Amino acid sequence: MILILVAVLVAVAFALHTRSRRDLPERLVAFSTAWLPADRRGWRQALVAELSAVRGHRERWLFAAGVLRLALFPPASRPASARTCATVGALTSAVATAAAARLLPTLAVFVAAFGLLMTACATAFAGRWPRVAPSGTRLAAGAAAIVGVLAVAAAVVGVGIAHPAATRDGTHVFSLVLAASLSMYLIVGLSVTVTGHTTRATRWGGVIGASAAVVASILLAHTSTITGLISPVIAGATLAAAIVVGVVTGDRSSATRAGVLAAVLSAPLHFAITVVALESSHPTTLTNPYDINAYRGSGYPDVASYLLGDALGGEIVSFAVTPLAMYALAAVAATGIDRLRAGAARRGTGPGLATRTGRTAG
Amino acid sequence: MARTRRPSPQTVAVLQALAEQPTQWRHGYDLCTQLDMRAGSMYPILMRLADRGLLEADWETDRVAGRPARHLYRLTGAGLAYAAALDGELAPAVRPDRRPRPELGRA
Repeated sequence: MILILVAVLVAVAFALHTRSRRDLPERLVAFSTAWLPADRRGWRQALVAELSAVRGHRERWLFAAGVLRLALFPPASRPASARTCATVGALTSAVATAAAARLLPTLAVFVAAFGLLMTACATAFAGRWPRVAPSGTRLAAGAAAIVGVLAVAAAVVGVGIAHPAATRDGTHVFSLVLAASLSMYLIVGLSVTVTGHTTRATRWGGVIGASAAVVASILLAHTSTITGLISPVIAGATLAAAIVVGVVTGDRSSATRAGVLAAVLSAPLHFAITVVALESSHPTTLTNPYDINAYRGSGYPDVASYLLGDALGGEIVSFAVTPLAMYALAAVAATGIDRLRAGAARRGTGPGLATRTGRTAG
Repeated sequence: MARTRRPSPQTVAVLQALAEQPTQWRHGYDLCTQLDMRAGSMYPILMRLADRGLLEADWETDRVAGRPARHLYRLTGAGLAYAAALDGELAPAVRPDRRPRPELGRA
């Protein structure tokens, strides 16, 4: 039910967020070119402008498809770095997987999937890394994304070492979902560092919102307020970032992206903090009748493994759906701010609605 | 020209198309049309040529109302020399289709 609600919210948010007079090829080109490395900024503008000269529905779609391909596989700014990353990453993944299979067999699938996906991400980003050093906010966002993902991996491995049965995953679904989710978080977080998707205000909003969420997560780690499918801490940070950036910039896209960035940067650290707090609380008591019945037939060797395994599964599901849910929340908040500003402008009591098409490179 | 790897036939075609009229600025989409190449193939080539200093790019100054300024491309001196060197080395089989086409204005 909650997942359906999230899906509906996402659909509504996407519809609100993408309303535009531009045709679909133009939107596709604008979206794709924003993923080009930051030092290809001139090429982004050139491709958008070139589409304006392309006539015919089919030709425009073909051009847009070509630009999408270019955005996905741009010429590497640093091909040697990409090759080094691919080689080192593949070797490290192989060694880590072999070690996990021997020492932590319940995590072997996760380690293998995580290693391969991280290698792919690192290779892609090494090839796209701009020739000019990124600004402070870009580096802060990228560093937060990397630290968060490593913290999640460390927290899960920590549980696997202390309570191997808690990380048992017969179907491998949770292992693969967690590895894929971590990759998604890393891609979104690092894309802020090397692409032109965000303005400086967006990055500041996202980084400050995420920092506040992490501090709140630490302070509330041993209370029940940070558990549940969607963390109220992350939701609060997302809303705050979207609202503040929306008010400051008057730009709906920047506001939405700030909210999403706050969520994407804070959720991994929130996950790691929650898991470490659960593990350090040494749960040994079953308190509700459902758990008491379920534990008897679960095959877990002890209560702690059962509770931690159950909590870990819930956290992984929450972790996977958080970006979509927070995107919906940020888009709705940004649209609300947008409407309020438009209403105030019509009444002549507030600032006019700014229409911004340019982006600020940091 | 530190890089010695042989360029792809598509890169050669782009170089030779630009070298046909070396002083004339060309639009990227016009090159796509002339050489029957997709944007996803053409623009990476243009980017690599520009990265290597073989191609210069500029924004058009004769603006058309209602649309943004477009990028224009032509070979640099090094690019012309490279294209000439390739022209002497390569077999006719890899040369671009030089079919007649309307003259492209700068704007």
